[in-house]
Amino acid sequence: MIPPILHVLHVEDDVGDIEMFRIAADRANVGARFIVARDGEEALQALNSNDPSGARCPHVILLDLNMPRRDGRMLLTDIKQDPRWKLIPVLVYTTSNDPQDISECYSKGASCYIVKPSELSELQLLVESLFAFWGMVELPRSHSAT
Amino acid sequence: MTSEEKFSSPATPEDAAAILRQIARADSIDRVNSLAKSPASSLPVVQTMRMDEARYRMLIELLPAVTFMASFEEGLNDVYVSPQVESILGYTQQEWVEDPVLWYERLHPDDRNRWNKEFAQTVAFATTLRSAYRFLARDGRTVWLHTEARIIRDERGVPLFIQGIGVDVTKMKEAEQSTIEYADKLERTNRELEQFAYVASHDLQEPLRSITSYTQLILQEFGSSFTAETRHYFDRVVEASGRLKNLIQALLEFSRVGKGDLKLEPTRIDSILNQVIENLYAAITESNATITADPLPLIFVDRTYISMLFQNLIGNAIKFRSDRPPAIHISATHEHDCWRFSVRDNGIGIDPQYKDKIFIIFQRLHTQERYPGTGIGLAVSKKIVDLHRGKIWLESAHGEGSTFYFEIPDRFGRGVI
Repeated sequence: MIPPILHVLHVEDDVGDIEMFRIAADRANVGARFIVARDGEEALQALNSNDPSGARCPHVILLDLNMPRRDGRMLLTDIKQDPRWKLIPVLVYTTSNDPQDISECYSKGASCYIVKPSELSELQLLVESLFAFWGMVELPRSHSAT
Repeated sequence: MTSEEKFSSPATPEDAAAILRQIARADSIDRVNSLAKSPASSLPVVQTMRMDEARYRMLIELLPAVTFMASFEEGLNDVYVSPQVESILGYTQQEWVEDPVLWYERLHPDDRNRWNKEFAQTVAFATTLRSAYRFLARDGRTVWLHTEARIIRDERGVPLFIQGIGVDVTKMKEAEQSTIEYADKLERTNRELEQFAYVASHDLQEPLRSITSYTQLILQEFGSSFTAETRHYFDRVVEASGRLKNLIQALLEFSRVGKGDLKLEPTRIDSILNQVIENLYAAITESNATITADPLPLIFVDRTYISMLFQNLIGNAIKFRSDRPPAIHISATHEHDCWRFSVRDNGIGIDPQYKDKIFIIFQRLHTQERYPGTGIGLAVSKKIVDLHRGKIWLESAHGEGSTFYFEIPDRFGRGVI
């Protein structure tokens, strides 16, 4: 069965993390399309853009918390308050394991909170699971179909 | 004109006022008594005043403070001041009395508004003036005088005098000021440090993850073609990165403790202990440890932090065990104003010369290989106890087990067992 192509808006400022995630996704042979935003501002621009390649409405948003300019916490609020985007599942993906960050993100409407694994093998497993899971679930159809 | 001549006619309230003024200005008991012989002195108010005066005159000279009296009649410029004005402000009684506005000139300009306001209140509401003012001594020093003064009125309620005392509290005020400044500075520095530790730990984590991930990638992709030596070097890199990661985590954890305010609530220590034992289940079973406890109280503490504290201490007791299975005992006694807890173990013990060092963050007494860990457990424990305004210390000897003691002061009452 051909896995569906999952459009992911990857909001992350660290180059290494971006690349690692991509490498793991490639190795896992998942169907994914990544649009990268280096901080909250870029993410908002990407969401607002008229790019027909699907940046306007990703299936899921992979969100780092600690970024320059507009950080993940602020962006999460923005996304969940905007009628155009609030239904998009936001997967918080951060180094922070602060319990306060965790509760705050969930209460703002994040779909889940993942602490970045440091072992390559753990990352591999995470990426495989993530794509398997989000490939299986039903996603809101309110945005334009891709 | 002597005072006797002046008052040969029937006494009037105005005469009484005049006598009172003179009594107040008298510089000795004898003078007071001679004034009291005049006809006006038969008036009750004068009699009372004279008796008071005699009594107080003795004390006035002895007090380590300045007493003063000023008449309203002369617009507060008819003044008595006690001899201490010289030792306290450097002006003689005579100088002070001769220049009616000297006292106002020496009153610190910044305090004048306050004096005017507080004086008016005292007059209007018949309350006692109670305030501290700064005066400039002759040599330019600032002297704080804590002043208490009252208005003396006649039978009609008309203000006659203001009478008061000024105590030199300069040293106290200065100490207070230094303490406030020091506390402010300390608070600022602490906050900056905590901020710093928190932010630094966060920012340190990302590049570290890159180091770890890419190193592992290299090993995965090219490892099979490496020599054993090269592989060994890479292993060291990965190992070091792992240690660094743990240190950063530990630092983050340490800086998080005490970030908010303490949430004090009535807490049953026995249920805390049960929870901690549950949390340490794996370590307890693996080491065959036994944990016993005396009756434990219910006290006001931050539940989360105290739980962390017990988990640290008991966890350590298990970790640093000797050949025998760990036997750990917790007890609690109420000392005069605090609860003293102890966690006693039969482990490897700690050399007494290090009993202070161990509470410092990252200080370890063993190598990583023998007893893995970051060395923040006790630093965090100390921080938690400090936050509760308590004390923590250790009694131990190498090879003979350790007993950790910590005290939690009674904040809202003694607590109960």
